[in-house]
Amino acid sequence: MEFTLAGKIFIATAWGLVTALVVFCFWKVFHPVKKDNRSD
Amino acid sequence: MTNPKKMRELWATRLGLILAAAGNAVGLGNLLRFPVQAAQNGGGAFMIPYVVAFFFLGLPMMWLEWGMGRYGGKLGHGSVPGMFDAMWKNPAAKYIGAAGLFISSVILIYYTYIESWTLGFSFFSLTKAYFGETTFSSMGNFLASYQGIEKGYFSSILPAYIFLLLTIGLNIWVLYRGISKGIETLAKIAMPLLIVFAMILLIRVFTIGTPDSVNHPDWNVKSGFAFLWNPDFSRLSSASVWLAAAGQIFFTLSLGLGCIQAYASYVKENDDIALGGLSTASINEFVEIIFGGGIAIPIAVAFFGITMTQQIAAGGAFNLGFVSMSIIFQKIHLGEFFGFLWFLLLFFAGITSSVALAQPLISFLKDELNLSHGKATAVIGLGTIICVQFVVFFLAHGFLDEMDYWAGTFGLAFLALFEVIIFAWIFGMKKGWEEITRGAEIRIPKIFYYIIKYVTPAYLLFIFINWIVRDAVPILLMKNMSEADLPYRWGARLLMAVLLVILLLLVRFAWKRKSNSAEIRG
Repeated sequence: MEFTLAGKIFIATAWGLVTALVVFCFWKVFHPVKKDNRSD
Repeated sequence: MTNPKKMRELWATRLGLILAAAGNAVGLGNLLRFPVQAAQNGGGAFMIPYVVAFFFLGLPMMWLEWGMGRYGGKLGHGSVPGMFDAMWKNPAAKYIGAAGLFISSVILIYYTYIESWTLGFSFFSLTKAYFGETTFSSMGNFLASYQGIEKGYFSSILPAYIFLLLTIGLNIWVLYRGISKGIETLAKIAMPLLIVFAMILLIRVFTIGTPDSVNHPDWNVKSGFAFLWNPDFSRLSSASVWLAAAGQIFFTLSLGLGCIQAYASYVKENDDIALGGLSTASINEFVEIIFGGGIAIPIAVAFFGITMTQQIAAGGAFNLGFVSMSIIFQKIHLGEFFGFLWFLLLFFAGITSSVALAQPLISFLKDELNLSHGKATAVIGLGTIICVQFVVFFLAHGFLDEMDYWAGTFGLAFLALFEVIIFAWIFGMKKGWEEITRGAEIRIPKIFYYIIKYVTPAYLLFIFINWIVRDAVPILLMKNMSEADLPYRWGARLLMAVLLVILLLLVRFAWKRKSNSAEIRG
């Protein structure tokens, strides 16, 4: 089966989006706006 | 009312909380159910209703449950009966909330058994016990004989029983150590390992290429990704595809169980939950879309071709995860090692979810009945060991399937519907929004205020009604079921009914006791 351009776009978008979301969340977790007295 | 000043445990670190909550969400469904659903419902096009369901159902419910949990925790309630009672001043609220104990407890009973299979199969991979079972029928027989359904490689159910006891023992040990020393420590070890194992397997899948280039040049990993991700837009006109996507989002994020609320109840009053909820959902989606969509189906296509993979997917998640993957591991170099990693990562996904399933009842016993942590853990352990016997010995007769439908499908939608109505409409969306956004590390777009209030309840109502019409009525009337299985299915219903009655009586007893002690004090 040929991997169509649409298929490649779908997988690239889905993988890119979830990776970006996780990176964003971890960035925020390790760089909190509020001071937290607990350690990460 | 429970004394809110009573000292409750807290998560030790923000990262630990997020990993534990993500561990709760990431389960066997991420790696086995998602690829099957995507393959059967339009491939890449499935991602359209999936993303829609994520934004209008999954993420709003995630924030709602975190908000409800932290609000309940502030008042000394770590389980849904207390939370519903605090948000809705109606005597019925706490009894409806008992669903939050019932659903998680019933799922815990059969989930630990399935989880124990993954531990068993990781051991069998290392010892090459199933090596030699190279056909679907012989590998299927290996699994069935392990489960005690058929005679075959295993002459008795003893090995399955040993791994079950080991699994329950591990769960109890983690739960006994408590929130920060037990669940949080487990999550900090298991979640990174799960990601590392999955990454190794994904790299192995990418390097498989075309295993049999002479006889089957078109059976390769690229075709596997094409099979799973090429969009079939014609499927988007089918309501069942949209329902399947909504159902998958619901199951994968572990919504409507009472577990997220239990975890969030151990968060400080002004600590962030907005980022916590988003992080939980994001890690879950990362595991599901990248590893769930990148391992089992593409490698199955490379070894068995598209037609056979379609049959495997139609055979369900266990067929894909246990039978087809075990055959593949026999065909690749160092297969025993990769098999060990695969089943151990499934076990990690399982145990981080099963400890979360036990937490609502533990919180209830401690917060509302003042049981010590040790006693509450012992009750859970003993109860699971007793009830799981029926699942083990009546597995072949649909005992597990019956419990799975009523708790794992119907129950989730039932509880979630009440959650959103009580939170957004009775407690009030204004107070609810303040609860979700207080102490937030991220700014949640205001549109979610309206989504939670209007769109999510409508979405849930649509799913709930559809599931009732499509599935609940035929299942309730036991249509198309084998005559021989009917007594066992009734047995499963009886067991669930007994559990429900016990939980309702415990809720009644807890509130009566609290009102009596308030009268004595007052």
